[in-house]
Amino acid sequence: MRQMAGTLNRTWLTILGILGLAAGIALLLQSAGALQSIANTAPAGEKVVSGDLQPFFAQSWVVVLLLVMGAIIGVLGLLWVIAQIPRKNPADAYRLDADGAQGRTICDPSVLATAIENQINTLPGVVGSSAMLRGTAHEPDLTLKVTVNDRADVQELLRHLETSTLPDLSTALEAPLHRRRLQIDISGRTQGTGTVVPSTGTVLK
Amino acid sequence: MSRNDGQSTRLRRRPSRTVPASIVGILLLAAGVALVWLAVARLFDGTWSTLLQGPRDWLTRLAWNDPDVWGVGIAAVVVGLILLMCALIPGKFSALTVRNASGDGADEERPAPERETVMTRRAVAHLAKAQCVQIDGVSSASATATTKRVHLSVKTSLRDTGDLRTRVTDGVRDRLNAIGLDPVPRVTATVESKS
Repeated sequence: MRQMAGTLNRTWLTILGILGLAAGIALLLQSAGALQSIANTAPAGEKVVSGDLQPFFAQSWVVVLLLVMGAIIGVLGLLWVIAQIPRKNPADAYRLDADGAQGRTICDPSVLATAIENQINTLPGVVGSSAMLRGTAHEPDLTLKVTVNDRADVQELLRHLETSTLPDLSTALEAPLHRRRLQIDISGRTQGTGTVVPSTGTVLK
Repeated sequence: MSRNDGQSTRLRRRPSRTVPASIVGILLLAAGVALVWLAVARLFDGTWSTLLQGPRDWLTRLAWNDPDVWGVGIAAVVVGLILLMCALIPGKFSALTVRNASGDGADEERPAPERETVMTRRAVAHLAKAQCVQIDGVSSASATATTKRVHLSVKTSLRDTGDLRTRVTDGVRDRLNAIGLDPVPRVTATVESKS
């Protein structure tokens, strides 16, 4: 239900991986003396730092540069860490009717989501559910997580959803459902409303 | 890339690389804080921190063909390759696809929505185990599931396990098929006699 930063992570890991790989290869070529013939760099036997570092670091612009670099790297790192927190990314309030002269109707999607959950929880075999509405009132986007017990008829549950619950939502919004995503989980618990009754017995043939 | 667009994302997805991203993010944050701290300390004290004396001496005596430079180069290549592998190796899907019910509730006025139905690997394993322990002769069972295979480890009190393995795999496969997993993963089982 919650969304992760998968694309962001892949993109930045690729960029940093390529940078690290390129820097490492360049350093190894330089150490072997191969880079000198290609890019006319310093000979392999020469010192990495030719002069004294003291006067260089005494300049005030070096301090400012380090400060700015540190701030940029730190902020980027912090933003990347924060981006790892899973997000709900919910929809804004649904604007069902926006005719200013006649008034306007606004609906909180969480109200509809609660109604959907309550309806699904009464279906046979359902232990619990959570619904999240995204998109807009004209293109609603529903994500459902339904937990059923291990004896539930999943295909029957899907038929119930497709023929009853989802059409009810479309009717309420007066718009067809644009997208429906459903994750089914299994639980050993039995339904709270009690339609599953475990029983034992002997079958006589 | 944005997660503020109010749109859903696919439920059947590859790993999001949270662990390597968090590690690199924290390292970047630490490096940034260290640089800022050093620069601010230099601005206030007028001299660089004594912590920099060691790295400065090391850099001054370093030659390009020094073993230390080789070490740094090799480390950079290894880290770069690890990051690239983390980004490019796709990883396993988190869930299995479930066949949608035949009636989609669509009609002329109401087109069928884009639909995705999945069951997590953990749920499939839980279901396979629950089905397995219903079979006569099974004392206990554990199950693991990937998107292509469900494996059951069955313990039985039977001395002669006979066709128990076949009954277990057939029973679990039928249940997974009835649920509508598409495609139905291959079901394997190992049976261990307790006696």
